[in-house]
Amino acid sequence: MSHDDHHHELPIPESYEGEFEFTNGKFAIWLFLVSDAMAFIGFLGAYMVLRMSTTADITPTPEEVTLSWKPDWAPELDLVATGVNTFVLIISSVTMVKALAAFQDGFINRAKMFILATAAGGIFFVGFQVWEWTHLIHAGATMSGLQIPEFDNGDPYHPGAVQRAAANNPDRTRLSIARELYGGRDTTAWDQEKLDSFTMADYVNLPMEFLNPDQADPRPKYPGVIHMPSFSIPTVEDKVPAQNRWDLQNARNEEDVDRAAVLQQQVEDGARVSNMFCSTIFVLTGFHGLHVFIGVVYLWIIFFRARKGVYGPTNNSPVEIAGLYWHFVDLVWVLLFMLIYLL
Amino acid sequence: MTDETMTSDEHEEHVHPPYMKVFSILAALTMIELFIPPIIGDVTWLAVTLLVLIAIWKMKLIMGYFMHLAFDARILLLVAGTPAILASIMVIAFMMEY
Repeated sequence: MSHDDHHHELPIPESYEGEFEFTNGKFAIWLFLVSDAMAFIGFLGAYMVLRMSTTADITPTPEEVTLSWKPDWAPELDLVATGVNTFVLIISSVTMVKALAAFQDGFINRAKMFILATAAGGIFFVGFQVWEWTHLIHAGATMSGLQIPEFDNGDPYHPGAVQRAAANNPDRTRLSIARELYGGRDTTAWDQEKLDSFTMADYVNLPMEFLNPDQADPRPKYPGVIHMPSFSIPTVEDKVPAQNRWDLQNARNEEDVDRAAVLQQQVEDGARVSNMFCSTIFVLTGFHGLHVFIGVVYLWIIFFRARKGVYGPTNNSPVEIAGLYWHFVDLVWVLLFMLIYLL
Repeated sequence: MTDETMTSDEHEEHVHPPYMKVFSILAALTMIELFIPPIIGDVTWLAVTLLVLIAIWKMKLIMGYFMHLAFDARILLLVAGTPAILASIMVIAFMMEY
């Protein structure tokens, strides 16, 4: 066998023939998609754990917000609009496979139109997500947390309840109002120092019996709220409402009430609390939206190369690879749509 | 209408998977999904089971037909299936925890 012969005939055993009837690029994109899928699965796993470990939808008092999954005053996700967006993504997947089919059959112009239609679907999808994020941010939700809204004036747990009551009852002292509003509550379970300094590490190092919600959970307990072990990490922002309630409950004099009033004002001025619902939806939809955006750029590159006549019936593997990426984005959305919007 | 870039040499008829049929099923499943929360309720066992089954069905259709795994070499199916197995184990582990 001459050197040339050896070069042209790849030394692949006969038994392997037919087993690898795909390009290296196709195998590589599958390996990439598999690793990318694991990243998504990691995020989704975190979402599931956090959702299950925080209390369900409740009307929380300010300091309970970090322990609740989605306070009922948190902004709602628009299921119908997102359903329409999901349809757009499915349609873009169809136009993608139609583009590949057109390339394979030699209908290059038709293929280019389908590529453009796919990219347009992606742009619509990302555009809708920008609109949705804008809506959420205006409603007080960001990745770092949730803005505390003005509570109902009739709610005795309203951060501004004392000032309002004092304004309506000028003959009474704020201290007596604060005692009436908060004095009847059992505060023995409170351990403010522990609450203030509680970190993720404390949860990790806690003996198992502390993680049983019925036993010595160091966090405060409220009637009617089931406390599950939570991974919510108190931050400086969290402490504003928590400290606020604490001060009012333990007010010994007018000065204490005034100090609490300053904190109340902070809450009314838009104090934020960390909230896992907000953090996770922004991370998940953001990570997916980034994939869609990259996909749109990818499709534009495919389109411009197609315009140069690079692809045809015998050379369309790069189009198929781009398609695999695009369908993967659709595939992930099936899961995200179900877990975030439908459940 | 003729496609000016197509030549008789290039033209080779491929048998394509039934893409429009797959699209119709995906669209119908998505419509059903949208009606499950208002009718059955958000987080009931029935709703969760139905939604998970529909999502698996949709993913199977996308991977099988759009991503061609139903027709491609089996080794690609093995590569693609590996994270599905790992993810299933992880989800089961989470479920046992809570």
